[in-house]
Amino acid sequence: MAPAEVHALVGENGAGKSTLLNVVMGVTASDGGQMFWEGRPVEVRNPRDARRLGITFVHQELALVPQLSVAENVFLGRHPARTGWVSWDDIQKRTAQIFEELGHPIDVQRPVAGMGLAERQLIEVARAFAFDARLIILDEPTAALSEADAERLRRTIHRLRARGVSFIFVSHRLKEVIDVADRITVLREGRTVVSSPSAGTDEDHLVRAMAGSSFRERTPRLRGENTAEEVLRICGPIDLQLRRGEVVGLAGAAGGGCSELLEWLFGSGPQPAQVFVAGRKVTLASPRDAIRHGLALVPDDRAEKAVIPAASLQANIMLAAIRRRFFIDQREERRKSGEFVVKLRIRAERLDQPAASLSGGDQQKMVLARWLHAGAQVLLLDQPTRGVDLRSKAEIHELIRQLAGRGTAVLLTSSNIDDLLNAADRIVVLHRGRIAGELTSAMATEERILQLATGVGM
Amino acid sequence: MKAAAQTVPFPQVPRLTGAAVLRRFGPLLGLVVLCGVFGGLSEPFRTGENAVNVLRQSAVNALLALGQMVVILTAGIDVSVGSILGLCCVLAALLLKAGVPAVLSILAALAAGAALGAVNGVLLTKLRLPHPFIPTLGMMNVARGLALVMAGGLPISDLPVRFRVWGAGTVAGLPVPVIVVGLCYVLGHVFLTRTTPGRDLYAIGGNARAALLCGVPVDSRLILAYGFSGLTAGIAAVVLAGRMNSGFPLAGSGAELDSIAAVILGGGSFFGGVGTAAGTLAGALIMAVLRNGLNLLNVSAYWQTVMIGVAIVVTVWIDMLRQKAANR
Amino acid sequence: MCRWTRRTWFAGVLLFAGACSGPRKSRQLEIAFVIKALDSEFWLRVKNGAEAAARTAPEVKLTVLAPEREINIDQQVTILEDQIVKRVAALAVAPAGVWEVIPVLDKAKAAGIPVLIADTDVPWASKRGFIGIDNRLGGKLAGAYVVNAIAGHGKVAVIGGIPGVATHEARIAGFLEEIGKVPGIECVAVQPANSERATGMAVMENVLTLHRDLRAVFATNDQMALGALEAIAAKRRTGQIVLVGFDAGRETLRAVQSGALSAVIAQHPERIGWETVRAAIQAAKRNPVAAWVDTGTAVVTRDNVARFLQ
Repeated sequence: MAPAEVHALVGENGAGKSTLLNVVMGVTASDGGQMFWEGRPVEVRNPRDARRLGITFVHQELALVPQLSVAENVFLGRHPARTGWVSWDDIQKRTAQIFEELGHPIDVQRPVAGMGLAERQLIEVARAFAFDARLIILDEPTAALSEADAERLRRTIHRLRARGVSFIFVSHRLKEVIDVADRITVLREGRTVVSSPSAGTDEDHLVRAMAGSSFRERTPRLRGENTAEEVLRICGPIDLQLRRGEVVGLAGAAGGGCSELLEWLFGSGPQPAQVFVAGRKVTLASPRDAIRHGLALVPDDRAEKAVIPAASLQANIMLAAIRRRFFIDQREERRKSGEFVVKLRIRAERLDQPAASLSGGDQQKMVLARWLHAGAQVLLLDQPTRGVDLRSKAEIHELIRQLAGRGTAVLLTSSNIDDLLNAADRIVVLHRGRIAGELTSAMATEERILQLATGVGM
Repeated sequence: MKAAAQTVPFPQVPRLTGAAVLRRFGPLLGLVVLCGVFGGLSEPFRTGENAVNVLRQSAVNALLALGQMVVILTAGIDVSVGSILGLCCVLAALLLKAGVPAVLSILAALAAGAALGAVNGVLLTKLRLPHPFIPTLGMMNVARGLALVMAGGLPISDLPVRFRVWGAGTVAGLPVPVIVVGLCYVLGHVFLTRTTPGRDLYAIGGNARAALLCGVPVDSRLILAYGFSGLTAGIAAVVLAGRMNSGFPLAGSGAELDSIAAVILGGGSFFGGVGTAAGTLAGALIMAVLRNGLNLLNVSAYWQTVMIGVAIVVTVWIDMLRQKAANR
Repeated sequence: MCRWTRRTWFAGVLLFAGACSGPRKSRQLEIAFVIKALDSEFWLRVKNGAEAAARTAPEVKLTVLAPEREINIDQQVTILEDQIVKRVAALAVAPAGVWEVIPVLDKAKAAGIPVLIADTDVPWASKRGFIGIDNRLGGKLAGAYVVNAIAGHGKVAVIGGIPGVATHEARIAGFLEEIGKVPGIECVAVQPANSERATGMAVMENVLTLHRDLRAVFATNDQMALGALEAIAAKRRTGQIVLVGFDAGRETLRAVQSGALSAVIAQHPERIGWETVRAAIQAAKRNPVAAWVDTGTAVVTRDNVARFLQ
């Protein structure tokens, strides 16, 4: 990277962007390759090393203390205490000066709590600038910003570039990337595919690079139009229908709205559209409502939202099905959960071993078993193969097909487009919370999906 | 589905590992060791009369601990049980003095306890107070204050015999409170292991978000748990007032901490999702045996408190070692 | 790690066993004296007196036990039950709850153990004797002193112990009886302060705020009197209000000496302990015991405080 350069990093989810950044920041160890800083080879073992070199990372989740003022946040942990006393006047003056230079004077005494995301991001950048950062890494800074705010950020970046600060900029919005960056690097499966100046490139070029250098011919894996009866229909900003035995894949960039759609369908969060189940309009105000109407959710974050680590494998499997009665027949329960363990090939020693002792893939299968046992009509699978070993992944895909064969409708998301192409009958692509397009077997290619998901050609 | 039903039953490895044994029977083991030590040191400790004494002395704490365990199971805490106990004591005594029949007075005390406990649950879930400590701390003060107001600060003594049998009577050589404790624990055990709401409590304590996404009615289950804790406090109140022949408004001061200690000694986890009725009973008995044995050895109450403190820390420490060993 | 744990346990158990079995040598007469608490000078002095009496009789082994706090009545009952199991030769009790101990006293009686009551009397027919002061008389002494000190005219207040505790109630009753005889004196408040210093101070502050013309205060124990003293000092009215305490610990006596406290009704805690154990030894030997041993009260003022301070 050249000094005073804005360098954009693009690639599919899982292409290796985060890993690369983590290596740069010293969070993860490098597994090959050498890092050079200002011409010299350097070794960055931890984030402190990185900071000493002048590298600062601005996270997606911002690290500000909401109760403190702008000035306090900028100088957090590094109060310039010449005499041992913190000089607030000095801090405020210097903070105001920094924002002046950034071209966005703001009231530095206001607490951060009431500020919008754009302002907070600016504060993070100001913080990095205040400590002579030479390289600022922005991880999807614009994902949640409005066009105007994004434009403001772009101006700030260019202003700082003029003062010799370099940027690494990660984004899914290709158009913006071309606008902001001087140079663009496309990553795929952990390797650099293309690295070229942004001036000579366009969106289609990038998309092709992201998807793979060539248009690989695929055997049509999608099964085409399904004419069975409709089980689920969503009317509103997102129009979607799901038929019996159909597997619909949801594709989209992070923040594209896939997880959000599944979550509100399952009754957590406000319901922005009308939902019909088997032709009848329903309200999904809580997970209980959703379950009552035959929906089931396997959430993306297993540890956070699905697994009860201290409870036994058996209790975890039975959790959804026991809703139907008051007393529990332990023998029946053992028999039933044992059946699922065998059928889904969950590798466990005992039914009463705690769920925490199972591998990630087995935990995921356990969560699937929970809903299979409960007998859902519509299965919402949010990233069911994330963090799962290859064998379990294949087994989970196999299971999805079996379920569809028996009439269950499945709505599936995955950050891996290949997975979607493998498992789904058709793919609906979301971009910024809206449907960007729907692809059936013939049209669905990785490239087309990426185009839609990154907002190209809209 | 047909094919699946014919699959071989899931292989069960019957042998338990050392860690699993310690986990399941640890509290019981501690109790046996403790009894062995005191039995060796003190002759009166070995008498049947003393055994009955220990059981009777443990009754109030055992009842409170059962409710407390159910709450701690949900990763909560109930610091109001001691005060609810005091309030129920006074309520029952006042009703008895007003000529209300013993059975009705008892039912009123139980209902009051359950209702106050449920209020804790409602405050927690509906007002969305940040931590169970807050509503129960409030209730702790409110209930104690109400008890003092209702009683005018004075103990209400000399209660009718029909009421006192619940705390002081015996049936076939067994004190009535011991029978009450046994019954409550059997019911508690069945509730926790054989019913859906009981199971739900483990799920809520283990991972509340997951429980919610599995359709567990989290709020109503929490209200149930706190209501149950209040109910056991009401039962404990009847036992205590009967035993002491008095409803005194300061009854149960500090009892909440004893009940929490019993749950922890019995293998319950503050993080929720772990705990059994049997373990908690063993925990309550450990505390009673410790106090009783030390009393018989003429160790002062202050030193007893030190010993119980040490026992709690050692128990949790051993538990941590065990978990570390299991995770290795 | 595991072996270490086991070793530590083993060593702990051995140590514990050694510590407990050391002084255990059975003598002929085992006497237990269960008092209300051990957290104040008063009860420590009772204990000292009791142990002094036990030393006069070499065949006696005395144990003095108490719950953690005075309000832990059920803990005291538990301690009593455990002493009954040991079949002590005699049991002496300073009850934390008058009515609450009666069921367990019945058990002692059933086990054939003679029971003596100390400090706070219990309406229980089978007691072998009561050792303590006449609290009502003490209250009357305080009342008479106050009437005299404010010349039979003005507002007075009472700060009491935990409501329902008989000793305090009797002191209050005696005081009010004496005050009631003089029409010029008005009792404006009788408030409990749970025998605690901090609570005593808070109650006094409130009373002083409500009644600026208060002339005299009677606190039914030392700790509350000392708390009231602080409240009066904070309002810079030390010496202007007649303040009478009860029990006469060293700190209170010094306050009387300095004039900050007008008077204190003295009990003789050592004498209570001494007489209780003497009576218990007689009862253990199946000898007759006096139904009531009055350990006496006295009014301590600046004039005679030197004698009590010795």
